[in-house]
Amino acid sequence: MINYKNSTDFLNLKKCSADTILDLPYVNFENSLKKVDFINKYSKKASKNISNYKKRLLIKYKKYTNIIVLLEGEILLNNLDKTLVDCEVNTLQDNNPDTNLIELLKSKSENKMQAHLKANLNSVLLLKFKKSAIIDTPLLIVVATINDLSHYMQIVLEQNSCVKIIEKLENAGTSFINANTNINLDENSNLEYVRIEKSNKNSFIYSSISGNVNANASLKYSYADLNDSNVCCNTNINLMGELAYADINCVILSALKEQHMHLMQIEHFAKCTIGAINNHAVANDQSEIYIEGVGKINKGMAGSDSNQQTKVISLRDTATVTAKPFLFIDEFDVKAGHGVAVGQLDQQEIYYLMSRGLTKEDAQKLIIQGFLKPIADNIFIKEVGKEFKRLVEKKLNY
Amino acid sequence: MSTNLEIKNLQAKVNDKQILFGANLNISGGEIHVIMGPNGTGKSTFASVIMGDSHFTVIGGDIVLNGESILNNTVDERARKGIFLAMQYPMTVSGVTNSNFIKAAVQAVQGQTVSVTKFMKDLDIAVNKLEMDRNLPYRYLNDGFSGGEKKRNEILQMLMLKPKIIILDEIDSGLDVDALKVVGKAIKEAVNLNTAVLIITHYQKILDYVKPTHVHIMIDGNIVLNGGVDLLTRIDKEGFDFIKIKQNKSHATKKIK
Repeated sequence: MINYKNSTDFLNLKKCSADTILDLPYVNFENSLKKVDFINKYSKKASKNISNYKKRLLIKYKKYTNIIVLLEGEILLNNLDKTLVDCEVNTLQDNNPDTNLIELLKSKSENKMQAHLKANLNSVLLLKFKKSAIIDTPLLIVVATINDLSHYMQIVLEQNSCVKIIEKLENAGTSFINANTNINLDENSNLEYVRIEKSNKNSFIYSSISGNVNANASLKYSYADLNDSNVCCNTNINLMGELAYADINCVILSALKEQHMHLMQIEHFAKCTIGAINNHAVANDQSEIYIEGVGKINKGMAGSDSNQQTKVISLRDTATVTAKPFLFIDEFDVKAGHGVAVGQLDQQEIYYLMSRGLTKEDAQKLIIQGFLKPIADNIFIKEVGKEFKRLVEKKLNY
Repeated sequence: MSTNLEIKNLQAKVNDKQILFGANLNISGGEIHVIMGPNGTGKSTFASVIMGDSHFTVIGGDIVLNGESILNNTVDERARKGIFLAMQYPMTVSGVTNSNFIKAAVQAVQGQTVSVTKFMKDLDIAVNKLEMDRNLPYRYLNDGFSGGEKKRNEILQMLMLKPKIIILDEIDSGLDVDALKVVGKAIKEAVNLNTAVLIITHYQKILDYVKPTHVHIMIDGNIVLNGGVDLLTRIDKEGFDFIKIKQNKSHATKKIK
């Protein structure tokens, strides 16, 4: 079978991007970060055998319906429900690639990570939901890898469609993961998107999520960073049409000596648009969390509402937390607000729970579970929700 | 053997300020004790120290539960041994549902996993008994509860945990007349040979529903007077002044000697 992956056209485009990497800057909030050359430091390029991992994944996910499992760019499981006739799925294995993908490859890269993604692109998933597609059963997408991964995913919702998607990114061994997700919501469409990242120790993950939300469309995005590795994440949502709505809910957990860096940005390009960012983070051990929230209302975008809240619990004195909320407002008739709270667990709350017989550890566990509940409630596949809870417990060493 | 809690010459301080000056009390199963006294005399501190609040440091005396000193036990260990303190100001913990929390507490106290169906049945019975809003167990712990709801919730936990020594710190503040009756009834029913109650209060209204067996007056970090129900009528008429005068006299005589 000939697929796009092996075509000379594709290889040439990749080569062009590779040539530009050196001249480009890192991601746009690099000044705040410790200068780390992600690519040279973490990229391995060695290839490992995937057959055992393949078996494990098949066993783990075969019980799910409405699922796509993508292992290093190849579809391992495609168990789509009948309702998903309204969904077009495209990967690099297909003979005729999507025009959007070619456009992406041809476009000029903005930063090093984007150029690196194009130059090493080995995994692509393009999902297109047709006009008025209303899909009740949530779709689960698993993106897995052992080796280095450059993954591009695109979710397009045409007018009046309504979809729920959970994406899980996981790996075995140590990998350098560069994942880019692009979301495009047409008028009046509605997407609930949950993304759970769980990479192994000594890996590195760079995720970039960009989205355009058009008039009357709504995006509810929940993101869980449960990675055991260093993370750099860049989320950028643009509200392009009137009454567009975007809500970002984010959970960040860090332990040991990990560094988790996040930029969450919502930019208002139309009147009467609403953007909300809610971050919940827990820092343990000697880890470091950096969160930058940006709400940007451009000139003339009257009636818009930009809001952001960041709450961080620091479990140890050795953990470092930096939270920076920014509002850039260039219009008078708007509502905007921001708030950050960083602190330790409330000792009075712990005392109250302990006075009912719970041990200190159990009391802490219950309070943290409560703290993360708003996000746990957003996970609409029950099994994934349970796994989320399990991963949180494991990560925080209960 | 019925439950017994003995407090011997208890002295405690907070931030270098001594609050309790050698309080003595002996409570046995089946008894209902009441501690009354003016504001700021250390009644709530007394309750917190028995529970094991780490804000307070015990500098003398002992707390003995069923012949065993619990002074070295932490808060949770004391709770598992059967001491329960209904707090004057219960904490709010958002994100944790009431029923989840109570289930975890019941499991901790009983030391074994509890079947969900049995737990839900028991909880339902307790909720009905306290005439609580049926949604209350599924709301976040004390989050958005009114003052009265919070106090009722403390009693709900008491009913579910079945403690041996129940200490109620101003449980009647914030409760309306009807709620007081319901709560009073629940407390009365909780008392048996293995369970004793210690009520800390300013008002005698709740004592119309829970008849105390012993009444104690605490002044300046010490229990200065012990008696029966008749003491209540005297306080009702004369306030705490008669005890203060009595104390001043005894101090004066001591000094003369």
